[in-house]
Amino acid sequence: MSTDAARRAQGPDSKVPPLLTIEGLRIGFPSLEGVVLAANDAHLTVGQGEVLGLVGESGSGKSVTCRAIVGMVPHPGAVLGGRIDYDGRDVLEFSRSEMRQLRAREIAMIFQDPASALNPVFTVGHQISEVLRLNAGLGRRAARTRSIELLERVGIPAPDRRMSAHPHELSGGMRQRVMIAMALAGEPRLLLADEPTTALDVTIQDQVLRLLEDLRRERNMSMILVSHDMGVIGTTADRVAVMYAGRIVEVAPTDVLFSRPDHPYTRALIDAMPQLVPGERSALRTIPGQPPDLLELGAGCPFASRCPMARDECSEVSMELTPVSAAQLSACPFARSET
Amino acid sequence: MRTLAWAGRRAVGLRGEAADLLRQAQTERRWSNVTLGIGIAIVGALSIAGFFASLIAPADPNALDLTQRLLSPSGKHWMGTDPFGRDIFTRTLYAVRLDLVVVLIITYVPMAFGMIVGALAGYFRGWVDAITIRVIDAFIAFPFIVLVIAVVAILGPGLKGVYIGVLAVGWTLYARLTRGDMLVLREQQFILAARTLGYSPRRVILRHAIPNLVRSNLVFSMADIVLNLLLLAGLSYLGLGVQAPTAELGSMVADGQSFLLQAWWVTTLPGVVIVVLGAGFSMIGDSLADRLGQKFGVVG
Amino acid sequence: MWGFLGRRLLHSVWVLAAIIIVSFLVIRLIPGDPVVQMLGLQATPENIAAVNEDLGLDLPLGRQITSFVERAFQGDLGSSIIKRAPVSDIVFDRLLPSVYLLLYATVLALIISVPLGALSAIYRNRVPDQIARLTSMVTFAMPQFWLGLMLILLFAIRLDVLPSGGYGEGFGGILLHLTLPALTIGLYLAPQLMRTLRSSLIEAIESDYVEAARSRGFRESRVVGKLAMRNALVPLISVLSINIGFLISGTVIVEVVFQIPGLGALLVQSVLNRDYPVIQGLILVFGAMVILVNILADAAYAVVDPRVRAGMAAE
Repeated sequence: MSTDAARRAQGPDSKVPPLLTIEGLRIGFPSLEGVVLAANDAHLTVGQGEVLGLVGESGSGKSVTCRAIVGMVPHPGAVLGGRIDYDGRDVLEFSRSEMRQLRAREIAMIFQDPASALNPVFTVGHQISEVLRLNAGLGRRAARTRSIELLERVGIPAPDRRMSAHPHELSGGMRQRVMIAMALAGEPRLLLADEPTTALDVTIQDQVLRLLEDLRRERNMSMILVSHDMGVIGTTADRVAVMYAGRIVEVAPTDVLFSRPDHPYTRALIDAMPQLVPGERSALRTIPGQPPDLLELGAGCPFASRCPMARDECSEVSMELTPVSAAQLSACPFARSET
Repeated sequence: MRTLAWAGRRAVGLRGEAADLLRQAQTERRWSNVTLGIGIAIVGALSIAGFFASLIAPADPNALDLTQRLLSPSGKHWMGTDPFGRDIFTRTLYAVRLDLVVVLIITYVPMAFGMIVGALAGYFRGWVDAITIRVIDAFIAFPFIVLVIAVVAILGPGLKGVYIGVLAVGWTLYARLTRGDMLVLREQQFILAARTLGYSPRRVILRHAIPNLVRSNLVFSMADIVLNLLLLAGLSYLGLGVQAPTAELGSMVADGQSFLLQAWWVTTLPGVVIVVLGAGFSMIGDSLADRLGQKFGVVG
Repeated sequence: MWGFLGRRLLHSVWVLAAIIIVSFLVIRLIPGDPVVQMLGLQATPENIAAVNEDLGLDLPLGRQITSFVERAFQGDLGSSIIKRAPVSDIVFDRLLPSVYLLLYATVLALIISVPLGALSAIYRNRVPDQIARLTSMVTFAMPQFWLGLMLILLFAIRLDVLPSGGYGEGFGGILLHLTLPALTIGLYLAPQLMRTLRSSLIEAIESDYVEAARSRGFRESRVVGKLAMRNALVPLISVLSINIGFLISGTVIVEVVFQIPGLGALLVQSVLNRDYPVIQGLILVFGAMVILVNILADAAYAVVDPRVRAGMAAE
């Protein structure tokens, strides 16, 4: 049943097998009152060369899901069930050394906070060269040359001089570019970008997103872009998965999702986006209510308590993704009949 | 008066208060620079004097001359002579050298070991951490000197017992400090980033984490050096550490204590050297701690 | 609060177990035959057999541990090799002088550090503070045996107002004889208490409730002395209990300097005499003292500070 749902959640181009398939992923965090499920039966696919946007409020399980892909669920959480197939193999079954190979060669990750994402005691050059020497097997000199090329490629001015800079001497945007250069050094096929622009100024955000997009196209890399910002997702992703309370509630191509959102939660997210129409005052609307306590989740739809369209059946509904149209899947069986 | 000053500051308003804060920051900085300078000067001068002891010293540190017993400080014997007629200035130079070398060993070898244990515990957590923290807790709760004396009791008096005793016990404070730092550090994104690049745990810990943990350990080691100096001198004073006739500052104090009445200098002067040397390290540690926003000392 | 105390008690049980292990190991780690080492010239076959039996060294190792723990809880710690008397009696005779010395030293340290800490906090980064901090750096580096001898030189020899050592009789005599030793330990402890007090006082002085008191026009001495001080004193309890190990370390040396018939002097003497059963017993007693002080401090802490009561329970 869950495989079925996963197949349906797959993108439109189903002739090429997807690079990454997550099926029924459950991630739990023990607490005094019981196990908190940060991911609860989550399904995702990422095609070759595709950018999947993963969107949701903070605490919805986006980052934890991403970290599970590289076997780094934060302490004291653990993967309780499901599969994460990368290139046809379940990474949850990987040995430690296989997992390290995967991180070194196949999947790279960039983080939210460029202020703490670089080691403060080493120079930028040292840190990039280290990746190249360890993961690409380059010699000292070759690693240096290649580092400068990479820094130049990610748009750092005077890269040869920046090589000897320490992280604190760079601006936030520059540090994020260095992080991207480090992530790209191993020529990964999948890039996990966890809120890569959240900590940056709006103008810089745009530059970094454009850079990521250019690089992805250039290398035909796949990417999961995690963000809580619908604006960032809308400009960058090919397809969007919306996550709520550990579950994927809707998956659709970006243009479809923005023009014809199905799940009430998706609609609320889009409505909450600031409207930047010239002359009109931009009012930031928020979704009323609080995200649910992940401990108290029973059967039925976790969004029901905040949902404007909620009805009695919501407490019994199965949270399975069902097709709305060819490429759009939604977990809400009622919304489509109402519009 | 204090009330007046405070009221006055209020009256001047924000500008006055800001200026006051600035002035306070400046004095704090200046104070920290002065203590650092004095500390380095003291430790540097004594290290050089000790290092060149054999060149500077006017006499043989162990040459007995019973005709020259308990002479008071003079042009010939700058710090006088002891009950065996040995030149105290000469013995002090040699003792400073010995104490510095031993103290550096019993401080930095445990520091290296403790840092590694603490880093492993903080990085891997789980049962490794649970066991480590229990062992550390038990060691820290116990009077340090009693444990070291227990080891000396097993091995017999002498430097060997001191080395093994301090190594066995001294690593625990560093391990606790490093473990705490590591628990925070391992969630820092650059450590996560290093892990996502597929680096081995060994590399992540040794190359990426430890360089970030050294600073706080070094600040702490300045206080530890002082404590170890006092411990070494104390054990030697009790007859459990460095054995006669080797010159050691603590045992030199002991040499003179039966002659306090006739010859105050035999006891007093080597002790003054300990205090000056220890205060030098204290000053360095205190100002380094200030700069790094850390506490200086063993407590806390 | 009870949860907090329960956890601390559990911690104490573990520390006690560790102390028992250490004390058990002392004799068994001695290289060569420990009994021959202990007896030295008196190592006749009969003596060796007697000591082996007394310490339970003739049993298999597993039995040795259980018998050791069993006997320790009954207060039977074997017999001294040198003094030919039960260890428990010898140790018990020496207990009171050490306890009095510790208490006296703590009182003196508080008398010295509380006013100095307050002064240092009020005149932060001005001359009185800098003098106080400099003094604390110097006293931090003072060997206690040397400081003790200097005090003897000054008060016992030059001024001739206090005895240079020994224990004395009756409350007055003991107080008189313990003054210099207690001062020696107190002068070492005081800077540490002063530092803690200084930083917690500064924190309290800058807090909102103290500002509020000021805004009501209270005198500065009242604001600092009453309001801030009350809050700043709480951390001293934990500093004292953390420092109990250092305090005991201090008594070991100071008792030798001043020839006080306490546990520390006994320890040093026993090590020099290779009287291992006594060393073993002393380690247990020192350990028990540390645990007792920690438990008392935890209880005091929980009673004094309502935030701890609430906070620790919620933790």
